Amino acid sequence: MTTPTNHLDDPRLQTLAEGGEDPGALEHVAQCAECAEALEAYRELFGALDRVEDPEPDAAFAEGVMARIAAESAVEIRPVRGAVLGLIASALAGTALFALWLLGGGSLSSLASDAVQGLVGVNKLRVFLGDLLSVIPSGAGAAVVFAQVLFLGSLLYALFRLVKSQALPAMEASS
Amino acid sequence: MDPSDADLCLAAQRGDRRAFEALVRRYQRPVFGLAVRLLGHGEEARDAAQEVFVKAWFSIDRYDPARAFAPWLLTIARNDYRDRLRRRGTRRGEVADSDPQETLGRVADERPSVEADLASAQDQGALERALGDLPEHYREVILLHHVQERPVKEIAEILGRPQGTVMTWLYRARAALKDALVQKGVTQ
Repeated sequence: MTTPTNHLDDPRLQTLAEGGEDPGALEHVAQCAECAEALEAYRELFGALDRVEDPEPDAAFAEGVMARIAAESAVEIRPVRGAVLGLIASALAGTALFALWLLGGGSLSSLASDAVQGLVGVNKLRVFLGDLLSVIPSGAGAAVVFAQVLFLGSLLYALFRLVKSQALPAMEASS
Repeated sequence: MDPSDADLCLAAQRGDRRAFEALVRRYQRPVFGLAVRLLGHGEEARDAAQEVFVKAWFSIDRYDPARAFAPWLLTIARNDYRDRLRRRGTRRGEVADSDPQETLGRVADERPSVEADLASAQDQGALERALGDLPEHYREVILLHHVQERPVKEIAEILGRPQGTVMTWLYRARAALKDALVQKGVTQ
């Protein structure tokens, strides 16, 4: 075996050690003791790496993950519930305010009057509320309508979040 | 037949926790293994690995089931472990009780198949220690390619690097390992 001056580089040696085909490199290794030694070292290294395994986590690992998910989901749901209740209360208050404005002195009051004309009790209530709310300036109507649109939008979003947040535990319970 | 990753992921995206638990059991070993090799300490590695799955659950809606699940999960793991190392503010080997070499040496020593062959156990322990001595990114590519048998393309995706860079790191990491083992007299 001779000792050529130009040795094989690491990528070529590693490719050979992995079983890659490189006739030129094999020919070189056959004549070069240094490269043959390096190739053998790489073969041993790859053999040893094949025996390295990932350590196994303990048996309760997966249960621990699921418990953490359940705990963090519960933490996530609580503030959503509070926000939902707040939004529902706001929406109800807004709806009541809007109804009062509509039955009282708002620009749509005549339509509302026609709708409840046949209902004596409701009509009496409407007249009463009209008197009561006559103090609300008509310019405030637009603001009330705007607020109501906002409230209704919030209500729909809150209901969506509520349904979604309740759906996971319900699905889990049923499965 | 076991359901595919894609099926389990789709079910998990619909809120099925049992499907997600099946994914946890399927991937707990590579996720935990990466944690042990990067973070070292058993308890922190366990905590970090569990946290990876918790993060995966809460971001499962962002996962595309048309793509492989493992790279997506291992990307979360790798980023989380790197953040922990950054927060820890220490470099590898500076904290005695979180030394990955020590942990892995113990793991290698405890394997029954290795116990049967003392010489082999010593060699494996030396290899684990040499692995622990590698820079983080070299250790990652060796672990992902040789231990977890992931193709270079997938590793590039996990590490967020071009495939050429991953190949270069792989060649250099193997050369460093070979030199370390030759120096220790484990190989020729």
